[in-house]
Amino acid sequence: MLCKALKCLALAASALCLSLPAAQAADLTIGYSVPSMSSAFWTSATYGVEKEAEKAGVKLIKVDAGNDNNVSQQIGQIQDLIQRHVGALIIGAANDDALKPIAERAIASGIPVIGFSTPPNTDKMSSYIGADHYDMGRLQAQCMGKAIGGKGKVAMMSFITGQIWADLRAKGFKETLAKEFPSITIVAENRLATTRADSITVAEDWVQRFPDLAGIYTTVDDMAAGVVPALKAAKKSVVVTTSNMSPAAQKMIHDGDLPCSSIQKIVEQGRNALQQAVLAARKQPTTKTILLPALLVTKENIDTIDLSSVAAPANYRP
Amino acid sequence: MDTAGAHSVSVRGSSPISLRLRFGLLGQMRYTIGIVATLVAAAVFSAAFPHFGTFENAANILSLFGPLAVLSVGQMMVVLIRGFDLSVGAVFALATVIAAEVMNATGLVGLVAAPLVGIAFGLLNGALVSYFRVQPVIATLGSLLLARGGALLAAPNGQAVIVGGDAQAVLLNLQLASIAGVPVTAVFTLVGFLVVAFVLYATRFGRRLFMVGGDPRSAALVGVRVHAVTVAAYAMCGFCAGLTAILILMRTGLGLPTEGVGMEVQSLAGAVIGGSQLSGGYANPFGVFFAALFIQTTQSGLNFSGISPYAAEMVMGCSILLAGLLDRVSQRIFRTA
Repeated sequence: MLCKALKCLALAASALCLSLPAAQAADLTIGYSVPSMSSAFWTSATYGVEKEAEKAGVKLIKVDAGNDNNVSQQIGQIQDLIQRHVGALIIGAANDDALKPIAERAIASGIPVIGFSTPPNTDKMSSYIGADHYDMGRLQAQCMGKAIGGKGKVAMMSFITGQIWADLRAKGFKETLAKEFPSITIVAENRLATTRADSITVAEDWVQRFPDLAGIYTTVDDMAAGVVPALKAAKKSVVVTTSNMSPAAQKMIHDGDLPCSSIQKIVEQGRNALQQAVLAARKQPTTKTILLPALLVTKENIDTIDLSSVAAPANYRP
Repeated sequence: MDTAGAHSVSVRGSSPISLRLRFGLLGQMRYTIGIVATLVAAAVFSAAFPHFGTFENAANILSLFGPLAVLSVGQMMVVLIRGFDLSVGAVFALATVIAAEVMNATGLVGLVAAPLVGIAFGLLNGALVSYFRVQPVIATLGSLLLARGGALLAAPNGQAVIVGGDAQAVLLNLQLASIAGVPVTAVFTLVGFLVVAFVLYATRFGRRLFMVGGDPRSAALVGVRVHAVTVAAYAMCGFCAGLTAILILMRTGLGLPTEGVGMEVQSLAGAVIGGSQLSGGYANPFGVFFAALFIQTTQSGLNFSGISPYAAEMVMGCSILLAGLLDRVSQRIFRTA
């Protein structure tokens, strides 16, 4: 019986062996660690990184902490990648302070680190790739201001703090509203919701608390994708604006459920991150900071804008 | 080794030697499955990846498996007495937050707040389950929400609490430090396991845990205070959640109110793969130790592999199923042996 059990195990083990990709196919291995590839942003980002890795002929090792909050899991995974002796590490941090020590440890052991969108809080990185998030907030504010006629109550779902990009978007939104639309007041701000499901709960709360709510700002399109159907179901006409451009967001703009989305070239950022990682691994000069400009997508321009640098195709799986 | 057998032993369970044979390391040959599974996983991944089969990576894996291992062995204590604890993930998150805040006020001493928070929740769970006869699923789900909400309220803005100054440096250095090549965190974990093993096998309390788990009515008939034993078991589970919080603080230097989601189920899996049965009466800390080591070895191997994280999750699921199947198979073998 035990022999049979061991045979089973050996069989499963060899099956696993065969299913693993050849480890030394490429001369250079790049490690890539992000909080959660199932969020629309990281799906598109990973797509860009992966396509560029194929083009450059380097091996890419992707790890995913499974959730935006799994800080200790991400640290453990980076520890594994350091042990794996990757040539360079691309890190999108679940929490910038928490990832600082492990990033600096990687750098100290000779592995250059590229900060991607949410960099670890260290100045020792070889490069940082991101978008102009403040500008994304500014574009959302202008769109919101116009859509609700320049006055009324607005609530903000600003994502969790400690994510610099989210902070910058919220800042751009608030400052632009204050400057260009002084009759709009911000009545609530939530900094806990991150997923579609969280956002639905928060939105339902808000429409109860503020029956005359005119607009809801959302930091990412995943949130809007939760909020819009919930508001529709509650028969509330509240304007929702957002950032990013997943297939779900594209559909909502097409259908007129979202007036606009301010977007960043996510796939393009992924490509840039991989390029910088390869340069750093080969000890060639890198660009310290790469900020890609923001765009505003509306129903009018959605069919003419080139989205291949923005979102991964709908059939892509990391 | 059926439940009826365990039950009759519990009633008669006067001789420590007969108990040790029944429940101790020697009597539990089937728990070696965890060791075998760990070795097989290590061999497979070492063959596949150049830097996997090294001492550095062994140390790396040992420095990572602590949180799951300690949480699982705590879970094992309550599974032993026919309970389980859904709150452990949220409780250790709360413990990291409270300990981080206390440390910011008092320095490194504040770390003791973590096990205290754990014990407090353990006592609450235990009291609810025993004295108030609330079903474990309801009692510990309630305290899960209590702890999660408490953690978010206690942390300013619901965000991570940074441990300030020297305390953080000390914690983070401990995560990296090692004694003769063995990471300090692994030593910490091992000591925790030895304490649990001592309590189970060398104390009267340990024997009573087995008796209550085997058959609470019979245990009561021979004078065991079942309620008190139940509370103590939950308190030990909470204590382990507090120790897990210390390991997380060493790894991150932060109080993390949202950490630990899903860990309750993983720790239950760790306890069960390690030889516990949800029907109670069985426990072996060594089995749990290697179950957690097996899970971490597989996880690290998958992190080395570069396969899609989604596929990796499926492989992880298959490994756990495989471990479960092996456990059943070996149970059958050693029952007749």
